[in-house]
Amino acid sequence: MRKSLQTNDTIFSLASGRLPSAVAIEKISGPLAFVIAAKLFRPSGQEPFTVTRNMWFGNLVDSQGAFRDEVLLLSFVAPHSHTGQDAIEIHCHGSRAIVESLEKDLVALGARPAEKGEFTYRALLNGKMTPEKVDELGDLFQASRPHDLNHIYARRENTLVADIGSIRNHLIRLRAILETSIDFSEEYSHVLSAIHAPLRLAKTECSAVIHRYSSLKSLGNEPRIVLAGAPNAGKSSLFNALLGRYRSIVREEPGTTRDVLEETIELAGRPWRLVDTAGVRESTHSIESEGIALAKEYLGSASFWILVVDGSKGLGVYDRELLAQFGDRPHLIAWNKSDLPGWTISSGEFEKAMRVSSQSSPEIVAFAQGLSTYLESQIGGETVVLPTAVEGQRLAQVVQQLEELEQAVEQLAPPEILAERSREILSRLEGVVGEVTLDDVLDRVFSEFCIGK
Amino acid sequence: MFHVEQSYEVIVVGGGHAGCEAALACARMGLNTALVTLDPSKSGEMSCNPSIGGVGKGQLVKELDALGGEMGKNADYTGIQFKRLNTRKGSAVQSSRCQSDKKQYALRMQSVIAATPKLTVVEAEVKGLNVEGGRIQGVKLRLKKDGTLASVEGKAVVITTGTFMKAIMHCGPTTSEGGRIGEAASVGLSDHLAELGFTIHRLKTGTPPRLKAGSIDFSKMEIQGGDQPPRRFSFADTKISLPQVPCYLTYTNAKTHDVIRENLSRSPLYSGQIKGIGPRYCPSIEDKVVKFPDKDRHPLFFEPEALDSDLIYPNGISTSLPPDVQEAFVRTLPGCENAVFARHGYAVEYDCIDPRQLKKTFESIPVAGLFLAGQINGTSGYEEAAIQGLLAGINAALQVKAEPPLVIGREEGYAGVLIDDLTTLGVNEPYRMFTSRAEYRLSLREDNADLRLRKHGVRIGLVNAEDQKRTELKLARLEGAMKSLHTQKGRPTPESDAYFAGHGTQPITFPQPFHHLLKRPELDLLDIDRLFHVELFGTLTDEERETLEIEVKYEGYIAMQKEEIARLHKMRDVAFPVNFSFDLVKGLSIEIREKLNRNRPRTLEEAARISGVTPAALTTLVHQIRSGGSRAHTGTS
Repeated sequence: MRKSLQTNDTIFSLASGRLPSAVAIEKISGPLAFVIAAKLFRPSGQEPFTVTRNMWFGNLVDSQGAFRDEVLLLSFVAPHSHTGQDAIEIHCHGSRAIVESLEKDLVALGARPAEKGEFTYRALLNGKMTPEKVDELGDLFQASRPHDLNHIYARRENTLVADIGSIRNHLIRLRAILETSIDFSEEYSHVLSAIHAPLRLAKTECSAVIHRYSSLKSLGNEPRIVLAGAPNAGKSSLFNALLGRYRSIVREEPGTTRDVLEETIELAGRPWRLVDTAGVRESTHSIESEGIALAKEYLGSASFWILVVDGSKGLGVYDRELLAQFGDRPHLIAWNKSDLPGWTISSGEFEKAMRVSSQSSPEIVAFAQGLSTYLESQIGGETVVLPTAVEGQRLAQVVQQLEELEQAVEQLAPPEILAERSREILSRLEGVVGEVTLDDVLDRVFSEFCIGK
Repeated sequence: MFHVEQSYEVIVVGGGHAGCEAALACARMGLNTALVTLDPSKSGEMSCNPSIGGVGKGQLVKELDALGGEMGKNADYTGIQFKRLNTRKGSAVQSSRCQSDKKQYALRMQSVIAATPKLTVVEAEVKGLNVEGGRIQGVKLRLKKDGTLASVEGKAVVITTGTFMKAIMHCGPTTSEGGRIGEAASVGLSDHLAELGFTIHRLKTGTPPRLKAGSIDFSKMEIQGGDQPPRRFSFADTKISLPQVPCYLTYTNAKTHDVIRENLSRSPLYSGQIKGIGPRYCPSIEDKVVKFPDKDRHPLFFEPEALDSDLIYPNGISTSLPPDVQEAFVRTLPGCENAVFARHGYAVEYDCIDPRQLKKTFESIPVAGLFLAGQINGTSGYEEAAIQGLLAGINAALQVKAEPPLVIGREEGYAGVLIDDLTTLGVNEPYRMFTSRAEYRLSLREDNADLRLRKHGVRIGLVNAEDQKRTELKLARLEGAMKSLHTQKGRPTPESDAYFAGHGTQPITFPQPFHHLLKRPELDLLDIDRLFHVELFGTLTDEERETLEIEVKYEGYIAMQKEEIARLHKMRDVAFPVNFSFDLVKGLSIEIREKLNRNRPRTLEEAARISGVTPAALTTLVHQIRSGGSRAHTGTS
């Protein structure tokens, strides 16, 4: 946070979009707001311009008194403004010349251009906004689709603290085991094995939340669904069949990397990048190693992946290897080529397998519906709570710290060092999972371990 | 009618571990001091287990010793088994513990008190406190010698009455008044404290039965010896002079648990007879059996109470079951088939005050000049009591002498953690020290307690010149050795090559600073001397080498903690103005506002210690203090 920023001077900023535009809105906040406005604004009616909360119509003049524009002026008296300070909004025509003239005068009369986020900062300090509100606002600006609003506002009802309570739980347990070993037991050998489970669970669940964050966050790039599988499993035909029906009509976002093998499709009410790993550099080296390397490259950025299997041949070595490496990531199996005579699927063998044939429209529709349902279940429908950008960042750091902790466990570090690391992790997470006090840890110690001679 | 009997500068009430330390500190600081106790022959008595120290507690004893307290010395002279705990873990959490000869412990403490100039022992019961205009004036006593009432004047009073306020003992369905077997409860005091504005709450503790050693077959138990050679508590020149003896380990079994389960309805803990809150870390045997049904056995340590005593303290079977049940389950233990009971176990319920009504000097907020220390503040344990007694005594004396108080911070010692926890968080069960309470435990170690705290003991005059010199010399040796570690380098030698090969670690191929080499887990300082043909560290003591090794091996973590401590100091410097109103601070949630109003933190650091106060709330508070503190109380923004 910008603690160093001054908060008792007067700032201004163009609140509206790029010029020229129909209307431009200049916002001014600070103790000089009314003084400055009185010099640059002449109300058209009988009523003189005074320090009141009001909406005014009149002429904007420059510091020499020359007419500049007809404007609407809104005046807010502290503390009843969005920053909590005296504030003025001038709605003028969106001309570069008018705005430039106005801003020059504002500087001449003692105001300064606001830093990015400075109005919000003042609002925060004056109790007009909570830190949560500020976070929310940041996400609102990032959001590009109406759908995202639901996720963002869901936070108001259902906080992430509740949603990822079990991460907190694992971390408390982890620390409880370590503290028990230090304060209440002469034994230590069993501790290292006991902390393995909560450590792994905390890491997995943190990763899951981050994953949800990255797959749903609208940062210009859509979440990716990657088609992977053995050569000739039918990835490209499936890719084309899905595109033929579900190609997104949403305009391309600027800055998205275009690739012949990536297209935007619309499923579960939102756009996704569908990626085909077929074709590219396939067949130069040994097919297996090259294919795995390629899949790895794409699967790294994938939110979800689909293993395309030739259902007439069944699961091959290559498919098994992919599953072994990426089976813990969210995925489905397309049991392809259901139109071929040799096609079989033994029910229950793979719970994530769905039949499909790129040659049959009804099958493609059914597959897409199944896929949508799956995606919805993964992203949690309407009530899913997204971490904010800050929370997402913290969780990512935590995963890294948990990995370091795992290494320390492997190197047989003493428990007070492991405990110190876990204490750091908990304090980093404070803003996300809520504060963890020693009492929380001790409660666990005394309820789970038989303490005392 | 009360008549004025005497006047003292400080009056200490109670002769337990807190009272002895408080009285000795005041007298040694040159003040005319009275130690008021019902029975001077019980001063320094170890009412429960016959041991001093333990994990977290050993650190407290070392700190107390560094400040100039008596407990560490007393433990050294009367210890009959010494043991370092947590030796299989890292060096930072190792703690000392000793078995004490209970009789010798109390006797030596009494003789130290008797030999201390300016310290008068007054045999009497306290009937009330004289308070005028919110300040203590003295105490009302009923003198033991003739039963007369007397009013004794004191400029400061330290109350250390332990578990004796409205104490009720439970042994099965039988209850009796009293704080310890054969000793009366102190009845009027807690009502009096309540009248003066103290909040009183009720806690519970317990003690196991005592068994006759002659009736126990120790051959059926495992022998547990102490460390050889034993390591002392005190940084001063004390001696371990008593013979060292073993303890014995045995376990409960299915039969023991059956007897206990069958008779649970007769336990005052489970019948609802006991209302006070007991310590979770020291559960009764009935609690252990009920709460951990899947454990088929619990370890028990049989500890001798004194060299010339026939009493055994069976550590691990604290209980308040009726006598016949106690006898039945004890006789299921291997070696105890014919055990004879000298005394049955019992639970004690007692009154204590809310320690949030104390300042960090242990002076009470409701009554100026009145200090409270020990179990009356809701703590448990001899060591916790003693350190409080010492600090309360010191601060009472400093107040009388009009000198600045002594407050130890949480970053400075376990003593500081205890003070801070008690005064900002309060207690909801008897408070015991754990190392986990000390967030800076990597720096707050037994080995450096003198380096951390001696200076305070010197400042207040509790540490003599000889001991002061000893610490200064130690510090100089450590600094010299640390310099050698940084400036001198080890060159590969045939010995070092062989050593690293033997450990399967990388040999060194070019000269490296010793400081760097010492970070390797497989190397200690003596290895460096030997492998690199230098004579740098052999002249240090074992403890000094340990200090250096920890400081170097944990360097990164200790540095991080130091940064955290620096932040803490900054927060401590930010104090809320006297008339600061949390209600007028904007941007605080209602919940946080309520917590702040309830706890009334004095500094930002204290605010941060309150559970639920978020970093965002702290930022808001900082801003209000820095730029709008006065605005907050006039109500505009």
